[in-house]
Amino acid sequence: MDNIKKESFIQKFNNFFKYKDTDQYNFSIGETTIEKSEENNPFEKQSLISPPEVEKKIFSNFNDNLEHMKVVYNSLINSDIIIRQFTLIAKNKQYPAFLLYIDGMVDSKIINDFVLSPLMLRNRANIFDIDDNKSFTNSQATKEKKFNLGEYILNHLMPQNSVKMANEFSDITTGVNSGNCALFVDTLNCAFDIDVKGFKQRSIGKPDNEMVIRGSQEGFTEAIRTNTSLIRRLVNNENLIIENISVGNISNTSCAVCYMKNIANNELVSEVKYRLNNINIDYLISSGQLEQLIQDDSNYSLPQIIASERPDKASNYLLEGRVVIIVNGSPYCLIAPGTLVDFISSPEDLNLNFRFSNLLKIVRVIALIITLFLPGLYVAITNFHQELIPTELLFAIVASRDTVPFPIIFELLLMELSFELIREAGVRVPSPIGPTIGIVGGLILGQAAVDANVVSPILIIIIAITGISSFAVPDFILSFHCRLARFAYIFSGYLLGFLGIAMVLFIHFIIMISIKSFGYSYLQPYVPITRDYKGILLSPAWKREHRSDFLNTKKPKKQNKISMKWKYPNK
Amino acid sequence: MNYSKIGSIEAISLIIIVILNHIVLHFPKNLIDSCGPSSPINVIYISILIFIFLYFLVKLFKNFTSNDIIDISEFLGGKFLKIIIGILFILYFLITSSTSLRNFAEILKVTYFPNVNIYILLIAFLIVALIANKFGTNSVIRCNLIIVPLVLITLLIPFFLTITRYVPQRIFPILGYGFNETFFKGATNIFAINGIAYIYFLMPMLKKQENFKSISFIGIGISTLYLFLSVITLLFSFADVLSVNKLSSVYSLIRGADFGNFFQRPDAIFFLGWMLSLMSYLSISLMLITNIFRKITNIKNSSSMIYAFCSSIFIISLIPKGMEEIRYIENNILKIFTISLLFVISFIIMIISNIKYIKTHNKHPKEVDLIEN
Amino acid sequence: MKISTSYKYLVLFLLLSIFTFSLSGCYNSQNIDRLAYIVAIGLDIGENNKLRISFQISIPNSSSGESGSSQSSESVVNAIECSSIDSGINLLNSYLSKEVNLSHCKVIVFSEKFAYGGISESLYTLMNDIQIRPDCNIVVSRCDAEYFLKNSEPLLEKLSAKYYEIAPSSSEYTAYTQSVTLSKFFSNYNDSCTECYAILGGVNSKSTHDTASNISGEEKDADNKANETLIDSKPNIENMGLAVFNGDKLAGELSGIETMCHQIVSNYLDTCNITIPSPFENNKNVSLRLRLKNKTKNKVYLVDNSPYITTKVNLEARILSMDENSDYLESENIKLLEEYANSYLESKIYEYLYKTSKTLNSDIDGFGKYVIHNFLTWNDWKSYNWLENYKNSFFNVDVNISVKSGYLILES
Repeated sequence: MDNIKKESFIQKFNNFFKYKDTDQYNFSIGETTIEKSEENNPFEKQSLISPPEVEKKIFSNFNDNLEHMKVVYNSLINSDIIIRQFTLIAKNKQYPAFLLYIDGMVDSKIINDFVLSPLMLRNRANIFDIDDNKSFTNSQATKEKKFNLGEYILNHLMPQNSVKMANEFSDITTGVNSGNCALFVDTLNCAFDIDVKGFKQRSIGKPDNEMVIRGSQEGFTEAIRTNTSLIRRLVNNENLIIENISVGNISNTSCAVCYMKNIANNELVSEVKYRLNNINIDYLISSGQLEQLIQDDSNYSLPQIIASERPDKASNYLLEGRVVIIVNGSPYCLIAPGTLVDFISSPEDLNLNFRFSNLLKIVRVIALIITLFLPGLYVAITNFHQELIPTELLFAIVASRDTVPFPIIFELLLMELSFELIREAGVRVPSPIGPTIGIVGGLILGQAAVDANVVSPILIIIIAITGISSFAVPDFILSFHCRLARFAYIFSGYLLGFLGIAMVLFIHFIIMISIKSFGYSYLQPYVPITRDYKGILLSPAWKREHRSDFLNTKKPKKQNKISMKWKYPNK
Repeated sequence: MNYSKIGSIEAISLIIIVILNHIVLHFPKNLIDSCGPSSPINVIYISILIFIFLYFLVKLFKNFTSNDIIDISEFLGGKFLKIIIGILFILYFLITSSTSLRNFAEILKVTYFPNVNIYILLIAFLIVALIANKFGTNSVIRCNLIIVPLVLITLLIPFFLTITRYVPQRIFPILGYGFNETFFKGATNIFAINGIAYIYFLMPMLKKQENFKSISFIGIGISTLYLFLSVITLLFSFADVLSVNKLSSVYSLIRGADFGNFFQRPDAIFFLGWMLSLMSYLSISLMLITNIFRKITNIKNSSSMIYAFCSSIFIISLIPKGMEEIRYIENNILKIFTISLLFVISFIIMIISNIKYIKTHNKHPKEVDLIEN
Repeated sequence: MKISTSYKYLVLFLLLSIFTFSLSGCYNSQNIDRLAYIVAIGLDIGENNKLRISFQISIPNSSSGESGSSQSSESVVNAIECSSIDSGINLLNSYLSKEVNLSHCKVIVFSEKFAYGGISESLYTLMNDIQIRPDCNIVVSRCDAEYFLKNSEPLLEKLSAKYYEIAPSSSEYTAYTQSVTLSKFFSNYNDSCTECYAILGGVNSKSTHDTASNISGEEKDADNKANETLIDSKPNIENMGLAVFNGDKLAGELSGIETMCHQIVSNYLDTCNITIPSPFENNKNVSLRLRLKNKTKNKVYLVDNSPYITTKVNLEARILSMDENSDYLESENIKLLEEYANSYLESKIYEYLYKTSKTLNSDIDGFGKYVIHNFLTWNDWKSYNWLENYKNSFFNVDVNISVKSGYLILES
């Protein structure tokens, strides 16, 4: 036993220095020398419901179908599975049939008016004679067709707008789960998947977390069809493709992949679809989960996919050539790829005059820098580089720290911890007293701490400015990342002053450079420098001629050189 | 090839980072020590010499697109010559980076970290270089691209802030310590522009090889410009630069610069930039060393050798006892090593391999017998 | 065999903590509240020819709830007898509770007696020190340095540090002294073309007024050095004039007017005032405000190895003092005024230049740099030894003042 352990330790030590073949997933667009990793074997979705030997195809016998569906849906236990048996009349013949649907997901009025009533009651279609079964087409001979019940029901008896014929049970279950109802008829070895969706959902409201002043006030909801309809209305073009991919073995959550066929790069689209198709998980509930599953690199807590609640932002990015992924059940859509510049932009930028947007962008970049560096710099300067501080400020700091019993690093960590506590508590406090807690915690506690000489007032100012700047960062995940990185800077600044900060800064740069988001370098367009330099600052609305160069879209130009033809009609 | 191609601006910043590091450490003072008040003239003279040298070098490289000096020496003399040249270059990069590292660590220890052991400062830099190289060669070169503009600005600011103290008459007497010292012995000052070492390895890395000429000229041009600026600023601002040998001349420039009443001594901010540049320089040297090693030993992937070379840099940088040994190594040993390796041996190899190439090309006009990667 | 992630992280964490603990020398090494900040240093000759160093230590007032405490405890001066600067600092460290830190030292004061003996050793030691800022002012005081520091009470500011910073900036509008920093002093000391000079300071009290030296019977303003100005107030420090060095030893002192001439000749002048006898009425004076119109052109010719120095000064003036019957719109009056001003200033500059050359033998204007282009190599220049040859120099001064009008009143 001991021998094996020793060996394994030595082996582990050796393995640390040995060369390891990197099994990194290296997908990049436009760089020809990076090798793609080997293709994973596309695995099959394992159906966990049915054992392998069960029939997949629909039976012809009515009773077999009925029993099978009762077993599949556990209708004796399940309270909201409704099976409605009735007699279908077609061509003066009666066939036993049943409807299967989930209560609460369907609109019962539609079922009554457009499914049950035409099938059960006598109507004009049902009393047609067989001899009149001719079809009028442009071709010459119209043979008399054999009577096909399925076709007959589909073509003549069902005045419902979306009906599909299905041969396999899996299609039926998928449909019923999403709110359709299934019609089984005796002697037919196919069933009908009828769209009667009518579940209640949240109406389109304001996007809660991305407020703008001049933009639209609509936000995504949880139902995927509503979301896709919002995007369709804004893009308004037939080249918008919305493909449906199911993710999750049990939940079969439908995700929609949207892209513009004549703009988006083909490799990007296929890469997105490849990643979505090859996720082997049981269930997918939110888009946040999906984001972590298809991200390139989750090691460094940097966001690589943009998440947005606004359809106008998603449409803007769609028309730029990116790909939008909508997950059913989540009001946040995912936009791929995402570079660092996108996480510093806000949706308001395109609505305003470019000067104001650029000014706000500069303010946001300064906020990002402050929230990362300020506490670390404070610790480094006061411990190692005191000559940097102007003399009067230095004396003010020393005078205020005179009675504080803690060293600077301890004070700083204490205040950072309390700020995080206040922040976390503020999330969960019931809303009537929510703002009050913020004021109580922030102002009064801080003031009391200063008066009790537990902390120095300068530190309170620094922590407050850092906290406010972290709220000024537009993206949620990026501000989380800054909160983590800030601690690294504090520790390194405390240990080695500016040398520690330079170390962590360098490694931070290297990490950001090595990350790729769907094949695009994370720090585009600064590293590597591209030809059409479109960086963080916006150009005026009449000058935005080109789409971002790094996206390698099919249509690089999006505006004419003279876009304001009314002003310069002769040019 | 293990790395993907780099663009022109990245290549230029690769060449520039070397001279920027050496300017911070000791180079302007070395030049001024050797020629006295005529050092600006000396710098102009060296730049002319090096542009002529570069012109011939670029011409010699025309026949060998996508080959660096190691491949060319293999073409010339087989494996034997390749291994010798490879080992020479590895030694060169090891010694230059470890002396720069030790020099800078000494400066840091004196100014900001008097209580910290020197090896901790050395380890701090080397750990960063190690981690950077673990992310791949591409990341190192691109990070360099971000850092070079920062350092260019931090070196430009003291040049302009001390303009009020300039006494242009300090350039006289015009011949400084003598005609001999300025032009003949002063020609050896060409070792100051050791960015040329990177030019020898640049060819296979480039995306567009036809830009090689412009890249090398622009890179070396900016290096000489900065050298000239630093020498002139030092000479004109301080009269004591001729007689007093200080720890780091640019640092004393910043200490003496006038930033106004409020910001009184912002030296630490400049140090931040210089630390970043030294880390970048170390990472690039480490990357080049491992690549040369991979070439001469034909192994598939040399990322494990990073540990070995990192430790060797650490050990070599601990060898000198103190500042006097460091200065001795930098002024004498490195000078001879640089000139003989970069300007003599490699140049001769280029010339001879070009002759051989023309001969073989004439013999077999159809086959092109080049080493392929 | 793959290393499990938790094992990897554990090893990393252990390594990291060992690393940080081995840096145990670095935390609390120079924590900001463990340092005592020295604002000024004074160097005297002590007993037995040892050094006597005085330190002015600033005591930050603790705020936060308490209103400002008494002014007297804002800074304190301690003096130590020792053999060198660093041993003095060491002795002070053992006496104080906090560690001494010199990075906010604003002024270094040498006493006259100390400066006569040569200050090169102290100068190099101070330049070698990593903490002392090279842009702190260097002052030679006519009294003891300790007395100088003890009497420096800021009248208009709260902090002595700020007072020391602002005080020499009066040179920008009076030109009676010049702001000389340590790095400039050091640079001039090592320069072969010029000699070094420092601010002249003293403590101005009633007792020192009796020792004022009058050159002529008429009492002229600013024709005196530090601690001689007839100001009626509490004893306080005063900066007026320059201390001129030859090598590293003090050679002599310049008064306020002579410093003004120095600034005019060496192009450092911002603005200054002169008071000339009025050409229109006897026993009346006219004050003019001068500024440099063009740069002063200095040329040096070598005549038989003796320097012949010509100076061309171009100033423009505005009239400050007005009278009831002054008419400055007529060109004749202006010309008369200009002639008087020219001759007055020329005589002052001649006096100053011959004083530096013959009496003090110290070229503080840096005329050497105008002659260096005649030499080809450094060795030739060294063998000529400009600084020794300065005492044989002849001067030719040409002053050209163009008087503009007065300020608000042009004619009355």
